Amino acid sequence: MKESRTIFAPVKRRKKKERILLCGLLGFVIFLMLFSLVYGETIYSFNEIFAALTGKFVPGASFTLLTLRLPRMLAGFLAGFAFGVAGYVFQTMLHNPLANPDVLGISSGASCAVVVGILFFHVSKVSMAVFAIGAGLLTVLLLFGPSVRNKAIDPRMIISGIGLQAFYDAVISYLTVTSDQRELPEVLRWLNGSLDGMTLAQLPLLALVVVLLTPLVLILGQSLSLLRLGNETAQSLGVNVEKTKVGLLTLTVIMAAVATSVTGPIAFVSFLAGPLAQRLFSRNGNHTLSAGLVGASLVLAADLIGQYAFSYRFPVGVITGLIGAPYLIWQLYVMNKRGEL
Amino acid sequence: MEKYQLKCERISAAYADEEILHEVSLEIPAHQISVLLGANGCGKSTLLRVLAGFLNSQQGQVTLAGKKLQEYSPKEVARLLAVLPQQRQTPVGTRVIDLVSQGRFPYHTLFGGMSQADKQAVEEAMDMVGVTELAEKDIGDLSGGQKQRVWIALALAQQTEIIFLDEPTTFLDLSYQIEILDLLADLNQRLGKTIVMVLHDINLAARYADQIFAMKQGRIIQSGSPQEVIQVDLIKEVFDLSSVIVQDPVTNSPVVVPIGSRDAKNKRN
Repeated sequence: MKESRTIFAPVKRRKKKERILLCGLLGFVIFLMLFSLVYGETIYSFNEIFAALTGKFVPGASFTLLTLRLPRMLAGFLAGFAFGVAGYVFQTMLHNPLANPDVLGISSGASCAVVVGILFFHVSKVSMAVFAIGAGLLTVLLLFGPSVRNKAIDPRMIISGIGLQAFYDAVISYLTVTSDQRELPEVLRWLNGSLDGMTLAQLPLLALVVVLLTPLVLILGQSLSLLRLGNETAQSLGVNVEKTKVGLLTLTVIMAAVATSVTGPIAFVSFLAGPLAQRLFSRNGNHTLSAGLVGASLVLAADLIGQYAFSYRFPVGVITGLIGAPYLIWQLYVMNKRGEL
Repeated sequence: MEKYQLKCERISAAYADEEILHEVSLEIPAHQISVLLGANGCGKSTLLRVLAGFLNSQQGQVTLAGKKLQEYSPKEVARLLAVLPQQRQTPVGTRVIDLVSQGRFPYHTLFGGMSQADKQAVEEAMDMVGVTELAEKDIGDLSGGQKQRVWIALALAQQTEIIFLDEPTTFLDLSYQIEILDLLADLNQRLGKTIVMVLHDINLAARYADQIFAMKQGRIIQSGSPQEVIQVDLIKEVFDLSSVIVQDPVTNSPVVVPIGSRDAKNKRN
C-alpha cells in the first residue's frame, strides 16, 4: 500500500490542517465568551468570575455576571451558532449563497409571529418560540410546497422568499404602528435583534434545541457535500435526496426560529457565517460545525462592539447589519457579473 | 449471472402529467454494452432515469436481481448500479481525489470515515481511467475529456456491476469521444461491467454497442445487435432520415450515411 500513502497523503494533510483550524476557531469562540464575562463597566478577575459562577456570593460581581453578562453571552453564543448552522445548511443545500432563513423570509415569518404573540396574546417566552417555529415551518411550506412535488427546488423560490419577507415586514410595520404604544419598546428592541435584558430563564429551550438538533443536522448533513454535486449525482451515490432535504430544512428552520424568538432576528448572521467558514476552511467538504462557530463568533464580537465601541450602545443586530449589508451588495454584484441572477 | 439481472416490465412514466414512456419492457444483457438510441424527446433519457430509480414509473416495475428496485435502500442501489447523469454540478475548487472519494459514500456507515478498502477502491478507480496524476488538481482546470474520466472514476469507485451513462460524449471533441468510449469498452471487457448508455450519435452507438434499443415516441421499436438494428427502414422511422448503410472500414460495424434533400436533388441531376 505504498502508493496509497502517496496519493492520500495530501488529503490527510488537508484534513489535519482543517482540524487544527477548527480547534483554533473553537479557541477564538471560547476567548470571546470569556472576554464577554470579563469585560464591561467593571472588569472582573477570573477568580471573581469563577467564584460567582460556581455559586459563591461575590458582592457586585454575582449580580453583574449572573444576571447581565452570563445570559447575554450564552444567548449570543447559542443564537449565533443556530443562525450559522441554519444559514450554511440552506446555502449549501439550495446551491445559492443568497438562500438563507433571512432572505427567504423565514426569519421575518418567525418575527411576525412573535410580534403578533407579544402584542395580541401577551404570550410567555416559551410560547413565543412555538409561534416562531410554527411561522418558520409555514413559510418553508409556502416556499417549498409547490416545488418539492416537482422534485426540484426552483431558483425562483428566492424571489418568492423576498416577496414573503416584504409581506411579513409590512405586517410587522402595520402592527407596530397601530398597536398599544406601551408594548412598543419591547417589540422594537426585540425586532432589532438584541441581547439586552436577556435572562437565564429564557435560554433553556434554545440550549436544548441547539444541543439536540446539532448532532442530527451533522448526521443528516453527511450527505450535504454530495448534494452539492447535483440532485441526480447525489441520488446515484445513495443519498435519499428528498428525505435529506426535508429533514435538514425542518431541523434548521426550528433552530433558526427558536433563536429568533429569543434574540430577535440578528441580521445577516445566517447569511455571513457560511461564506466566512468556507473562506476560512475550503469551499468543499462539510463545514456545518465551523459555520456554527463562525456564527457564534460574529454575534459575540458584534455584541461587544455594539456595547463598548461607541458612546451609545447599539443592539447587536445593528452591528451585524452594518457588516452584512455591504457583503450582500458585493455578493449580488458578483452573482450578477457571473450571470447567476 | 442471474445475480445482477436488470429488467423492466411494461413501465410507463410521465413528467408533469405528460406520459413519456408507454409500456416499455426490456432486459439489459449482463456484461455487455447496451445503447439506448433515438431522436431527441423519444424518452431515452427518461427510460434511463426510470431504470436507475431516479424516476418512479407510474405502471410496471423495474427489477434488479429479481427484486423490485423500490425495495432496495438508496445505498443498496448505489452499491449495485452507478449512474453518471448528464446534468451535474462540480462545485468550484473540488479536487479530483475528493470527488472520486465520494464514490465510497454508499459503503459508509454512520460514523466511519474512509477505510483502507475505500482508499484502495478510489485508487484503483483513478488508476483504471488514468487520472492518478491529476489527484490534487481542481476539476475546473481539467479538459473536457479529463473531466469525463474523473466522473467515470467516481462511478467506478462505487464498485458496481452496472454503470449507466447519459450522453457521456456530449460536448466533447471527437478525439475525446472516442477516448471515452474506448475506455468504457475496455472496462466492459476487462472487468465485465454491464454498461448502459444513452447516445445520440448512431455511428458511435453502432461501433461500441453489443445491444441497441431503438426508441421512438416512448416505445422501444427495435432491439438487437447493431447489424440487426441499423437498417435503412429503421433509421427512416426513428430519425425520419433517408440513408445508405455502409460498412465501417475500421470496425466493420454499420455506418449510416445520411441522404439529405440537397443530396437527393444533386443525384438526380
